[in-house]
Amino acid sequence: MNKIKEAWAMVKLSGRVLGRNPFLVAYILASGLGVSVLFGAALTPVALNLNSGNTQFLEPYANVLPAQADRKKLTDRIEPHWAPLGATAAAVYFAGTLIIVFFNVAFLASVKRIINGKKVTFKEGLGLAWERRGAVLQWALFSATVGVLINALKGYLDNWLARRVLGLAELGWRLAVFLALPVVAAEGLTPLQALRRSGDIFRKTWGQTFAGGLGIGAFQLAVWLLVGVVPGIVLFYLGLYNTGANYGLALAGVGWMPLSLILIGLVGESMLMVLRMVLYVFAVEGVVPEEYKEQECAWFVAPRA
Amino acid sequence: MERDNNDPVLAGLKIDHRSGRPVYAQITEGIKALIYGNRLKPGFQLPTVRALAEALDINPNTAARAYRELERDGVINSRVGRGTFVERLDKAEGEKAVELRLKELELEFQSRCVELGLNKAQFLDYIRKGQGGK
Repeated sequence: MNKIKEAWAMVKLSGRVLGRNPFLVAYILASGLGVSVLFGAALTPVALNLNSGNTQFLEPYANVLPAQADRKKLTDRIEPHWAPLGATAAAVYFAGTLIIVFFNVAFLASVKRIINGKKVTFKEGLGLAWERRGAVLQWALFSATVGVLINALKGYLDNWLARRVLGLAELGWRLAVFLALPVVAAEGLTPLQALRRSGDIFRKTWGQTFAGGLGIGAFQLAVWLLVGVVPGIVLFYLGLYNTGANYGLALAGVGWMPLSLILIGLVGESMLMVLRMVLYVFAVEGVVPEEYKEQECAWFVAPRA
Repeated sequence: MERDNNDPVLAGLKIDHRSGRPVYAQITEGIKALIYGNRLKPGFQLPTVRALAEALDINPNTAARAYRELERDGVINSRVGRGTFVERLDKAEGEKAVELRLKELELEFQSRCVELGLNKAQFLDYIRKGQGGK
């Protein structure tokens, strides 16, 4: 019961921190934009070639098409391209992970300053992540490698039990990452040290972690139903049945539902990110963190004579 | 905020964020140890919650919790509008706090030895040689 109360206090704090510092969402947007630009840049040559009708460059990879009969011949042609293709894909994947980790660390480091009663701007947050650049780079490399391994194994395993075991391992990995990144942001540890610390933190906060995560998930769902689904259905109904055939209104109703889901998802993701740092502070300091309120601490704030 | 090295509390309190012990407990034990070691005398005014939180890079609520615990134990006294002052400390309380701080130090020492690939004897040998050099 205590764990649920503490989790609720931490979820409320996460909401307040985000409400008073909406610029935090910009880190998630910037990371999304960065990854989009990166993948866009990586895929543009392919798109340009396709657009100009040049499909010759695709020939080495044609074995993905089942219609091609002569697999041996194709494999021989593909062989020399595997290494550069694999290296390019790995480099793009790593760069994407690096962008995400960097902005996440900037977000988490900013949250730590905010809940410690300090002011921070978007630019200062980026500076805090830059101070941790070594740890960020190592974590991105480590996490990209684990991500690739998990995905590769998923493709190879066809045994039911093995797939379930891999699923559990993936869940464990996601949980470890959930609490390890605040450690990287706050302490700048190496990946293995951060993983070990995240294990310690999880042992202390598992109840609050699950309850807090579920709380934010339930909050997202409730808000989406209220702000996204209900108005969407009403607009759809009004468009089709009430005001004559106003298809624009009906379409807006249909469009609003996924759009609101994305917007609420963005807010929920940001709240979850704040919660990650709040959980870290709770585990390390032993106290549910609170925003600093001068009046409530009046006893202890009198200046020295 | 930079640490004020003239302030015996801010200069004397060592907090290990990686230790399994909650930070608020490390602060209460640290302040008790400072009083026991005569670094803080009765009547000494402690830093404000905000100053302590900023100097240790912790949440102000954690610093406030440490002060509340110390006040509950009668070690410090908070006077509204004036500040927080050292009151008194039982000898047994002080000894217990020093023992806990030593335990913390030992754990940190062990973890640093592992980090450096040294055993206890090698480390102590290094310290002895250093002292001999002086």
